Amino acid sequence: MVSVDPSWVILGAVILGGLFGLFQIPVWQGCVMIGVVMGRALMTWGQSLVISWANKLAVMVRFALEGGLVADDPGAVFTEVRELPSLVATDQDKLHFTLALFSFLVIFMYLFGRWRFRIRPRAFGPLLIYRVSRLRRLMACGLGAINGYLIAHFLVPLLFPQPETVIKVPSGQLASLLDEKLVLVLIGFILILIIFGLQLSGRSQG
Amino acid sequence: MGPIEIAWGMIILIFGLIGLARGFLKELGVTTVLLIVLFAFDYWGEKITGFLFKGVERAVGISLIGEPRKSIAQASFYIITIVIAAFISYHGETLAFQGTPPKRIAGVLLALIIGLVNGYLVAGTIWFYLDKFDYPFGLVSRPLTPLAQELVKILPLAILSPYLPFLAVFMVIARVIR
Repeated sequence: MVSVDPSWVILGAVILGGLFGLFQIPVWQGCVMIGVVMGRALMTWGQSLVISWANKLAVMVRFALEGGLVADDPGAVFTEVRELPSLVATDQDKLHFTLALFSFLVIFMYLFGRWRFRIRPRAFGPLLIYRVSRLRRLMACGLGAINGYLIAHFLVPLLFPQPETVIKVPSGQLASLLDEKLVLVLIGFILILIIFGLQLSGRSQG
Repeated sequence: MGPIEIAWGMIILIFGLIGLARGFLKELGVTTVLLIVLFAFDYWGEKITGFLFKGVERAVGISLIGEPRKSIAQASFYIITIVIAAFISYHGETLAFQGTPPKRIAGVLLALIIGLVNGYLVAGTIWFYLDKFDYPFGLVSRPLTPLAQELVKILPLAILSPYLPFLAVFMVIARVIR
């Protein structure tokens, strides 16, 4: 069994997010952050609603796939479909659904950001990088690090629900550490936002 | 008498709308002043009120040492000071950051967010001192709801206290660089 210190897990998430951000522009990372917050809010306050709609949608899709739309007796097909087990029923299903929806929202918002705010890349050896100022690169790095933290903050309680797992991570301790640092993350986000706003603002005349 | 968290949320929203109308750079000027005032409260609040109360006792002959007068006087001092600081910083142009504010959707969002932050700082500080001195004016429904009890833990001085010097210095440096 490998023992992992919780602070290393957080640091790993923050460094990975920061490195990812370093090769991006701030607005893309901002979009990712919106995806993370949306996913978190949806799964915290609207989980039961989302799951019930997913189950209803699954029933509709099954009904269509079973030929219910063109059947002579759609009622019979519908009854048959309704008796099948729900798409998201067990706790394990809920966990998988939550992870899938959260990942979808984060990836969707990232791709949306890249599509909406396009920037011309340039060659950097075998890589393509983006021509941005050092300050903006640093801001993207900071936002990426915050995103890494927020993603870890959401995923840790889901992925490490037991006190110990095969990779021994004291999850209770890790969750409380993540909560303690949330204030710092929020402060960091507001400060990056202020720098970003000041950079967007025009200089005064004279 | 009403749930304090509703009043708190309403005040923050109103500050957000004011932020929208005033713009990002003016709002940052207010944030700077509020952070400096909070820093002063946190580090010298006890000394200032102690000094002030002794002065009042000498001048008017009213003692503010015993309870409940002390709580009422202290809460009044902090609340009136933060309200005056907010009023002065919203009233004038002088503290606004220089330049032209960002335009379009980014400008609107930034102004809204910084307006909400200012609302949180003002309304949160008032609530913090009301809670600290056990709601001396009797304007709040007691006991607090479970939501209010949770919100008390995230009021500005409850969470920002260790970071206030850095935040105030950061804002002052940003203001000077502009």
